[in-house]
Amino acid sequence: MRALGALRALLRVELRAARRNARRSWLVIGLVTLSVAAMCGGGALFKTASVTTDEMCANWLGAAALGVRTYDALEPNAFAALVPPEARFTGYTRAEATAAFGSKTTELELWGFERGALNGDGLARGLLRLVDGRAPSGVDECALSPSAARELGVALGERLQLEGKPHTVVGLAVRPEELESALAWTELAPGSGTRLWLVDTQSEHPALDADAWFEAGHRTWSRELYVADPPVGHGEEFSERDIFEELVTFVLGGFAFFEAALVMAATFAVGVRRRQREIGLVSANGATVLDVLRALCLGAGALASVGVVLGTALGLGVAFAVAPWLDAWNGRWNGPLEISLPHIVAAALLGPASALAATLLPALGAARLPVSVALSGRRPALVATRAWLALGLVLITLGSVWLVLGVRADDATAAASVLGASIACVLGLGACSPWILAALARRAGALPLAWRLAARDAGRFGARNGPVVTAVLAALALSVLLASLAGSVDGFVAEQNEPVSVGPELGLVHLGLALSLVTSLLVVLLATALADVESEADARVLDAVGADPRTQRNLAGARAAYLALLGALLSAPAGLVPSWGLVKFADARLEFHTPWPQLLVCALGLPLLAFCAAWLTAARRSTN
Amino acid sequence: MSAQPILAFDAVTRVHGAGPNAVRALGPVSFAVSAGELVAVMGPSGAGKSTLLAIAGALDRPSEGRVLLAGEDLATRTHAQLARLRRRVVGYVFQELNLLPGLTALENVALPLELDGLSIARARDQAQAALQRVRLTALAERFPDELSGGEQQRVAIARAFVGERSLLLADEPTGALDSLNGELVMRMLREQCDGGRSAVLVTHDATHAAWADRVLYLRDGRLGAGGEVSLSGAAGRGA
Repeated sequence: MRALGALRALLRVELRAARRNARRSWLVIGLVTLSVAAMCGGGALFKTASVTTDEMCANWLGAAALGVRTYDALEPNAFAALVPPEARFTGYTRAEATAAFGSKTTELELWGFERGALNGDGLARGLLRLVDGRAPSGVDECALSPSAARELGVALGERLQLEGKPHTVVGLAVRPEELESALAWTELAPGSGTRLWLVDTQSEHPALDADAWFEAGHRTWSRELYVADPPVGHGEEFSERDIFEELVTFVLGGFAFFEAALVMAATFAVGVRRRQREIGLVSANGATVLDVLRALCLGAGALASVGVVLGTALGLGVAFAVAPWLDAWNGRWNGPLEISLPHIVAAALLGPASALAATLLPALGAARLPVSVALSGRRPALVATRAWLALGLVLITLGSVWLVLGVRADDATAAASVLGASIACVLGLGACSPWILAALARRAGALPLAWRLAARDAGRFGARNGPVVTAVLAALALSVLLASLAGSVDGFVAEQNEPVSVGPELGLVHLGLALSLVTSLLVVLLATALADVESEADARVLDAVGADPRTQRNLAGARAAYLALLGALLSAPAGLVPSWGLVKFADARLEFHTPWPQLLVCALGLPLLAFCAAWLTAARRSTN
Repeated sequence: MSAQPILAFDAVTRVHGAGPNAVRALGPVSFAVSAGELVAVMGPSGAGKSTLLAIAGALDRPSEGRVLLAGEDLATRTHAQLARLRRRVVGYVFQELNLLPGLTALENVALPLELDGLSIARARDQAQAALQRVRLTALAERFPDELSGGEQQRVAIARAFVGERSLLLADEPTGALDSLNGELVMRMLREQCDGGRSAVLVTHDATHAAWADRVLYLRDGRLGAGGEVSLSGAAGRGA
């Protein structure tokens, strides 16, 4: 009861603080929103674009239960003798044909259906889809696919030659799974013979003996074929490619949430540090460590919940907006947007979970700070110990072993292994960073003042800078990983010497690269803001001894560049290790690629950019 | 005054660090504060005044000796029990930045009660009464940045004495105020003690110390020669 009362009071304090520090709150909300939007929107688009068993059945069976290819062409009366009396059936034809209009000719697939077979209650409905005009209603009428009409330059109402016979084009129709295929749809003359049939037995269990049909030379296909086996026309290679794409999506999605959590951790660290005295006052008035911890975590959870709601709306909104272009992107009739509930649920759980994980360490540190120290506004410098180094080395070793063993396992295990091992390596390198910072600080004596102070401060507050370096290296590792993967895929495409549809993946990779660099810069600037807060007293001393504003700006720039550089150097192994795992998993067809230009951009470009950004914003930085 | 002291220090020392780096910040010091008493602590910088206050308020633990707060030995209490004492017995007033900027004056005063599990309505009723005692009822709904420095300190005093809290520990509460507001705050403090509550006031200002019943002089962590001076609670009141 007391705990609830305390929580209510402290949550009020948290929410007011969130409102007062609106920019920081919106940053947290934005990070969750983007991650959730990517997962919800991506999930909906992925589900909509994926071929379901129902869609595959409709593509090959229409509304029938069974498809039959008879040994000889049969007339309907002859075929009726092969099926139970209550069964419905319809015959259709499918053959290569030549179409001519004026001087233009084209090869296409000629489909013939009985009148009404593609209508609402027809057995063939779903095999073709009418998109304009009307269905052919006589043997001298046809419908063309838009691609065939374009190729021939023919319009509705005009007459063309199909296999030498004149037909009037009365409609446009497509194969739902192959929108760009060239086809023509004509009406099958009543009573004509054909080898292709669609059968509905009117009962739950087809009373047809498939073995007997097989022995008689007929071939059958039914819904079970599409449930049990990969779809016709898509062999093993197609399935492997799908799994690889899913694996990449899974790793990148997981990394995105992990990165969001790290950036949020840096944001919360800044916020908690700025509010140290406020937290001290709350403790001085009787709040326990648990009271403070609960309130800080729930405050973060509240912000994350707003992000989840906004992210879900944004993701689904964007998916709804881009859905009309989906058919042109993957060349099939995707139908209306399908919302993926598992993705929404996962995002709704992962968003607050990443925010809570991000809050936990800074909140624990703030809540456990002795009240008198919190009230004084000082923070004791934490000494980097060898324990962090040992922990880091253990994590790196475990991550590497996990990766090597995991990529040999089945799909789901491999995906989880690559993600888990990557995160373990990033965390391991991050855990080593306080020790590295401390070691570098001891050797900074020869550096110019600003750089010396930056190195010494980074070493002095090594335990605080560890998460910051981790956030930087994780963001950069993502861009290194993407660049490495893009290089591997590029190499594969070049080797094939044939057009391969990798455009969307490469676009995604380049977008990811840009986002990673922006995120890295954001993290570095947040880290610099945090360092500025920690060093307000030092800044006053520098002012007092006559340091001009330029020196203060140089110091801010040096702090940003120093952390960016360390993050960049550590990001190389952190990005290349999971890339190697993914490439190994994808198959020997892909060769591992080291993205040297990207590594150079990370090691030189980002620190320079960070220096300039911190230098320019040093005087304008918000004090909230 | 009752015979039972609200606060008692018995040979209390506080040492920071260990071995050759050990620094004795306080003690040994022994004194007691009775109900209704206002005790001033004076001394030069580094004399241990703030350390004494932190130990008295259960924000820090002594290295040796015993501290009794409302009859409870602080050395034997857990962190949660110390937090309970801070909610129910002792309140702080610092030189400045006493209030949470996101809470109104009324909410700031009600905070320890809400932390203690009281309903919002009851906490606010008692907070209103506390604000009434420092004559700030009209400003109850204002946020700290809408209050003057003197008004903020009076809100802090109200919070220090809200509900059953009976001991106020004030560290230079008038240090950031002009003389007029400083005197107003001291008058409020004196009124609270005259009403039966107690206070320990750390100050450099002898005119403010004159509002106290007794003055303790600290030098190098120990009570100075003569230990303490009794002002009989009248010397400076209203002066």
